[in-house]
Amino acid sequence: MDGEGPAARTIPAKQPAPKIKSFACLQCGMPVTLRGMLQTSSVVCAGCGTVIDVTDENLQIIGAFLSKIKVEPAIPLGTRGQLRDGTFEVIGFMRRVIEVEGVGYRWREYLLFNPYKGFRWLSEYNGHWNYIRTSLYRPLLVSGGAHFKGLAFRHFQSAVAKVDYVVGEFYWRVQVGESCLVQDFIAPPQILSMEQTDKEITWSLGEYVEPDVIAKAFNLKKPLPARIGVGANQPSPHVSRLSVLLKRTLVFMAVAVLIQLLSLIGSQNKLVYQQSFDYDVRDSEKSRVSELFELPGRTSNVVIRTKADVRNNWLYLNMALINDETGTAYDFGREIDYYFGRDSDGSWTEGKPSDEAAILHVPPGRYYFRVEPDGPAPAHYSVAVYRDVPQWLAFFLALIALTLIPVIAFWRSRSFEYQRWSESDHPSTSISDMVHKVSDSGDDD
Amino acid sequence: MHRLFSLFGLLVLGSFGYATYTGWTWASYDEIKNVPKSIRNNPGIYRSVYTRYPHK
Repeated sequence: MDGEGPAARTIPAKQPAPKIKSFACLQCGMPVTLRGMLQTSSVVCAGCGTVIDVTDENLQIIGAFLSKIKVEPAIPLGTRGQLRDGTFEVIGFMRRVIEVEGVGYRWREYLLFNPYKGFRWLSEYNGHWNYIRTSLYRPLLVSGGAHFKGLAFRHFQSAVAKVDYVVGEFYWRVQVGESCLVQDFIAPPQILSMEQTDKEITWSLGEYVEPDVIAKAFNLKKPLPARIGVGANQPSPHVSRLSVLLKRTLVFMAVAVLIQLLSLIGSQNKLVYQQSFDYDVRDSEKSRVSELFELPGRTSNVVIRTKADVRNNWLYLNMALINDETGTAYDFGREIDYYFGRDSDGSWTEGKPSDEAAILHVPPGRYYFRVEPDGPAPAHYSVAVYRDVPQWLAFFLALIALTLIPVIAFWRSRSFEYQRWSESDHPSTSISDMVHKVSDSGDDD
Repeated sequence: MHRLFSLFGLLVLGSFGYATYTGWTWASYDEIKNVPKSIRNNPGIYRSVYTRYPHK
């Protein structure tokens, strides 16, 4: 069983506990109330910070107040709140600090008590809250993480944490300055924490809680600290979105492939005119027109494929597809150039001796083709006109458009994970690393 | 978000379907109306605009 009380910590041997509920502080005389009934072992006076041993009938002073500052808990001591497994009362508050490269990072912990359920913890760092239960089970430590109850946790951070402020009751003799090694492992929205001192190792399992839930549970009037950045085990809102987007993208892509296949099968792709010509620069009339030909079917495209026997030369073709009935001309020009040779880097080529151009939305009807060549040397060239030719450009553009939003979603998710891990001992540097972390970050919403 | 993406996806598929039906591709040409029929008898009388498109 997890978190059924102080059992996870070193609990003093059972001894006759003083049957008191409140007393005057031995140092300053301020009333001190005991809320943890017989379960607490020390209490820190809110007035002067003196630590008093409540397991001793004579209420001995354990330590004096070491901190000169007073920290106001976001949830006042004595506040009761309805949490997921019962009503709990805040009986203790402490602030802990770790130092990394000379910078102190502080978080706050609230000890909760319910006489039937035992103890729970709430921790808050940068406005991110966790509901924590101590565990009697020892997780299996593996390289880079830990396994616990079938879940794989990744190592997040290890540091020596010190208590720098404490007030209220605790089930061990807590004092300012008390330190332990803390190791955090995450599997969002869960966090597994190990606290190690010379005498004991304590494991606890926490779950991310939205600040609104905390405020509502304790009916808090004051706003809770604003969230900053991404919490260590904060569930990523992007993971589930990304998963749905990917599934829908695959469906859309499958439909696009189907449309393209139907287009390939259903298009006429019909050769309606083909002719070869000779060009000579000395010709007085270079223009040529074709016989009339029929463009069948519905309004569709026409593709003109040209070839010329140019070698290290060029040929410019001015072409027009003219509707004999309406007098509408589709006029365009194309250049065929083809150069090749060999140099110190080997053989090279530039251009090619063939070309392709498309005319869109050409209605059916009787047409003829006019071509007027221009070039520096005689050439033999051919023109082939195809009707209703399937195209690939729209297909590839559709695929690119469909992947656009999932790619943006992925980068947002990556950015979220980057922020999460930037606070850890393993800040991410590579995309593959991030992809791994994004896929591991869980999908619990 | 999901609805918007679905809408976007349907829009893309609709546009792609239309483009495929009409045989759309990257193309550039001039459409000229009322070209005289006499061109067939005398091709040299027609002087087009000499549009050079995707010119290499």
